[in-house]
Amino acid sequence: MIEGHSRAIPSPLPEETVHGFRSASHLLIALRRRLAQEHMGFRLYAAGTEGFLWDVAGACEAAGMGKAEYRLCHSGSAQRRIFCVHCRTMTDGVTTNLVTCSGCGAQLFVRDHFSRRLNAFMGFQIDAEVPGETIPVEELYR
Amino acid sequence: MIQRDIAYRVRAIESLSPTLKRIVLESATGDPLPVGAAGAHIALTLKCGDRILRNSYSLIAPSDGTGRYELIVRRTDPSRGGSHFVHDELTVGAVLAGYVPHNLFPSFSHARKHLLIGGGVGITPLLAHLAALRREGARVELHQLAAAEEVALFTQLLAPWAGDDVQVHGGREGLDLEALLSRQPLGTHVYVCGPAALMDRVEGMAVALGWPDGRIHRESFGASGGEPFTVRLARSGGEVRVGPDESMLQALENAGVAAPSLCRGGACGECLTRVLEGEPEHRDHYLTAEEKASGQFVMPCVSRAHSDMLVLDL
Amino acid sequence: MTIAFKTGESFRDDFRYANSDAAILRFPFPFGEDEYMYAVNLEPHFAGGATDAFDTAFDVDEHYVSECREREMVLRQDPNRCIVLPHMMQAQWDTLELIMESLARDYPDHFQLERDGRRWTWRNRPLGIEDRFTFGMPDTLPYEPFEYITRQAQGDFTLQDQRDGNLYMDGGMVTTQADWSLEFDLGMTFHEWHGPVPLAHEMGIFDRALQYLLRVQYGHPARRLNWTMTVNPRLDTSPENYPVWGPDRTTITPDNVGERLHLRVELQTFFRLPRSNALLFGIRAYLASIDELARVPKWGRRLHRVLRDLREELAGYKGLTRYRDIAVEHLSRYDDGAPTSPGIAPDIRTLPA
Ligand code: FES
Repeated sequence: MIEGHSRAIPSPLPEETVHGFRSASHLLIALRRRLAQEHMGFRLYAAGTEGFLWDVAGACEAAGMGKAEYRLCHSGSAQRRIFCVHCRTMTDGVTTNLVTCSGCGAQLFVRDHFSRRLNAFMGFQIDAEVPGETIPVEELYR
Repeated sequence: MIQRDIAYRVRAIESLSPTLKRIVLESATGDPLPVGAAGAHIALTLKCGDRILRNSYSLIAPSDGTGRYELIVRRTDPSRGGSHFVHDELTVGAVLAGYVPHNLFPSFSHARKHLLIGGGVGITPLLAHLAALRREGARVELHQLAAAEEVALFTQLLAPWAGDDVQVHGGREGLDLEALLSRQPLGTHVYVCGPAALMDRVEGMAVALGWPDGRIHRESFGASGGEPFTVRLARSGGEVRVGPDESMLQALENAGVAAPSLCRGGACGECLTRVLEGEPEHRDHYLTAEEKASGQFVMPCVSRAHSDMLVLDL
Repeated sequence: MTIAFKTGESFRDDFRYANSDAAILRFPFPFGEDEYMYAVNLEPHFAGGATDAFDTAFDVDEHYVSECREREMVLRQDPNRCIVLPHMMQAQWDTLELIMESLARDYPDHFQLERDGRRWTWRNRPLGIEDRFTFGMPDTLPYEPFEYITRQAQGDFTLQDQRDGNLYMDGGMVTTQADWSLEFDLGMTFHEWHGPVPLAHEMGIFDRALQYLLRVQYGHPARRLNWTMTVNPRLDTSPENYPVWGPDRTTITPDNVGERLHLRVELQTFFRLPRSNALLFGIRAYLASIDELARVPKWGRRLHRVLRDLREELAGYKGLTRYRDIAVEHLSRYDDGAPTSPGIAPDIRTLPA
């Protein structure tokens, strides 16, 4: 419980309702600090690309919030972040159904299976059964 | 693998006040008792005169290898009979039939903080939670509401955990619930046990302040039984009485009726039975909302009846 | 019950694995009818069932020692096959207690547990383990409690936290899986981790199963069977190692299908854990070649009919597409068209020579 006059210390800056940040990482640092001060009943609304949204969700969960306490709205690019299930390397900015893993070089098929914890879709080697047996590349996630 | 019934022996009875008694139970057979976690309750079968009552009581301390379960029973007026039996007739050494502990009021390990609110004898499961959470080093705060004349008693029960975050408030207005719920950090879970009015008030206030459902927990013993009713078997003839503490399926089986079943939990659909007359009380997860509304089917493994009689196509 | 353990088996490379006659007869054959479709096939996990595999809480069979060695090999290569989130420590101890007590009770010749308050002594004779530790103190064991005990058990295990009216997979030991990844699925809800399964969502299977599982009570475990097929007796068919085992699927020929193609059955068990209120899933995999199973006449007939009539979506999801026709053709020799009895029991006590 906060009592006393600490809030009366004059701030050199005017009260802001809109904050600018240098980057999404910068914003997330501030967000984590802010959530640590918040109380039950707080709601968070975020809009942005999928990767950003799940970073925000991760910060919310880490602060003890549940799914009912934040709302995410996707806007902008539908690019996917891919987790290579074989070598565990992430490949960012994927717009196609197939992608070369930036870690092990396998041709990965991009599944619709998404992990919020890893903030990534799963990729597995498309031609693991028969080398070279693959499907046409299509741009699906722009 | 499936253990349900346990014979308990009364090891000790202690009078805490004119209306509260602390009962200590141990195994009557010498077998070790199953773990009784904080929030769990046990159902006891009490034979009072010619009536058989099944009452549920919360454990007031976690039981993990201690070999005993502790309860507090308040004499209620008017009593359904159970509390008078416990207060006036139960003696040390008596053997009671009961079930293994069942926990419908657990604490959540995911919580950042646990806020416990008790009213009167509703303190019982919260005593167990407080002990367990403190031992784990979890962040916990407890508020107990008590009638003015019982403040001293509850203060004494809470003495082992005394501190700024454990408070007993006398009288209904003793606690500013809105202020309490408003200042809880993100990730707090609230657990309330006491009179229905208190539980409703806490729940209503928390919801109004924006707490999500999954963070508000009220003590519950669940609803496995219900009002007794009669099943008439249209095809084979005959009637089966379904008692308050047994399922329709159990009653049919005990009467020798060949009723199909698999999951016995209202999920698989195996026991689906056509209803010819009467109004089923649906408790299953198998029938669709429309099927339930039609009243044409019932799942006897979990469901019961709103009417005194159900006529089944069996 | 004394079990003669086969200690020299391997589930990779040279594949030294076979089932004794007794092991075939106790196999938890998953098809109760001549056709297969998803259903909520949950039932109470009572002691006893159509075969001996259902007799105990955690079934131990002749492959126990070899399977524990295989798990050790997988973990050495890939420690992330066992992950438990930090808030599940109580559930870890619950699991250790449940498995130790069950094994010591059900197989006293092989496992013993002595409890002196919180000081416990655990003897696992088949693996030559004897450890003294303090229950509740992780530092007194060589691994965290969940990993410690599941290294000494057959089958995979996952730990589900119950909150918000859902189950969250917040831990597991997964080295013998049918193509799903613990590392990827960790933290998911029940519906999320079942996302890739076709048809069952539309049928409402997962909604009903979840409602049932949320209500599983302490002392009243539940179980169900699930199945797929695996080429070679390979336990580790993980997505992680798909490049290792994927090529196996192209090796099936009419000549080798009978001994190479294995029915993989999961005996899934569900236990409410008392201290944590978490739900432990046991996912115990059994492997038998289709020729081994066809030594039970009823099973040979039925396996033929089930595979022949399986819906295309299911065959694709289970990865059978490349070899299904060969298998059906091979199994047709065991199917004389005679009717089969309902249920999974083998209906015979000894195998025909
Ligand atoms: S036995 Fe499964 S729904 Fe009744």
